Amino acid sequence: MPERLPPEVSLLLEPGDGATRDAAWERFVANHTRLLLHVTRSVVHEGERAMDAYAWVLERLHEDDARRLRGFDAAGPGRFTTWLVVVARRLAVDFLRHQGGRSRPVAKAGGDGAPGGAQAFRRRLLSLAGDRVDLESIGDPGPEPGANLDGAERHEALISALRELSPLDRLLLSLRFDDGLEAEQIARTLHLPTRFHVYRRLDKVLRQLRSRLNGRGIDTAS
Amino acid sequence: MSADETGQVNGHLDASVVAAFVEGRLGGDARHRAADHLAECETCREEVVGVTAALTSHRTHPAWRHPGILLAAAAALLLAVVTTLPQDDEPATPSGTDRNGGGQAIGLAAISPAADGFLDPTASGMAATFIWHAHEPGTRFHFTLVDEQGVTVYSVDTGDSAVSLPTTFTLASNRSYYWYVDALGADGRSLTTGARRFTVR
Repeated sequence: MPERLPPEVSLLLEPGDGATRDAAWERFVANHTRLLLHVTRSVVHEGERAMDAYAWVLERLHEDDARRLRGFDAAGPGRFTTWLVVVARRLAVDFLRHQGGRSRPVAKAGGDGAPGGAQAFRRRLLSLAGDRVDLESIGDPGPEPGANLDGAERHEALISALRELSPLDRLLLSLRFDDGLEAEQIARTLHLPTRFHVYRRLDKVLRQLRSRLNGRGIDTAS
Repeated sequence: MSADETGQVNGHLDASVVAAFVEGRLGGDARHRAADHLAECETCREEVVGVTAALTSHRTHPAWRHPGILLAAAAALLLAVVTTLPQDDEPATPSGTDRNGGGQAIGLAAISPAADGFLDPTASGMAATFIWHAHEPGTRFHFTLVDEQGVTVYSVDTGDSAVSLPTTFTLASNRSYYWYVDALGADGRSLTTGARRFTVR
């Protein structure tokens, strides 16, 4: 078995007698229960339901001869524990669906969350690309004057300009203006050192957008 | 069901791709492909953010909501504090953040000015000085000073663990600034102290 798997997981996935596999499963639970409980509680917030979800996640991981754990690609770049968090979180979300509940969207920030979906997202981007960026007030500035007259043209120009950005820059914009994440959360998600790196990157990307919109005949200075 | 060549299963990122993206271990084209999908898929973005948050908080509070473990940890900590009282000139507890995916405390710590502290270079008659500590010899540092708007006002590379601002450089009174140090270790790992705010008297 590849060395990147924890030993008890290797034992669990190798052919062997029932007693050995049972012992391996007990070790797996003992070694990962804190992490799994933490993950399920991050999705299912009510106390007792969270414990039910945790038990449900464990059952799903153990069933069919630990079929889900066999899905880990030891040759891939990710660590087993991080992969386990992803799988456990998905199972916890499934638990909620089975129970008829909904998970709290962890991506949404507090004060300046993004309303209105994709259309509002792009409207705000158009407005921000036309202004000098005030880093303390990046929010929803509302509709542009005269937007009804050339809205379709501006929308198409923005879509085209967005496509020219790098995938990571488009992801940055989605996290900030679509999901409404705070800079600190974005920094952690994108592995940027500090929120100031996020602010600077945002400023640069919006200036790029402004330049490209100007190049398409969209007057961003008006 | 296995992932396709873009790392997706049923139109969403495969769990292994999500894990690798969260850890910052996806390189080159794979990272761009994942970012390209994430830019358009709210479900996968929510997952990446949720997994990142869960891992971060778990590493910060690994004994969360396990009273027995907390009590045992508290007893161990108390014993450690009683038997090993720190001296005033000992370096602060290492708090540097490993940007290579670890997120755990390792050998880089900001010392002075303290977080949310004050700096009064005129009173001391000396140039404003910033001090940090690294446990690993051979480390190179990049010091950065930014103002409240996030604009870099001074930065320098150094092999020392302290920087004094040039005498020609003036900090504005009653204004706050942020400083941080990025370190490149001899083994290629990068660390950061994280930004610390101070106010100029």
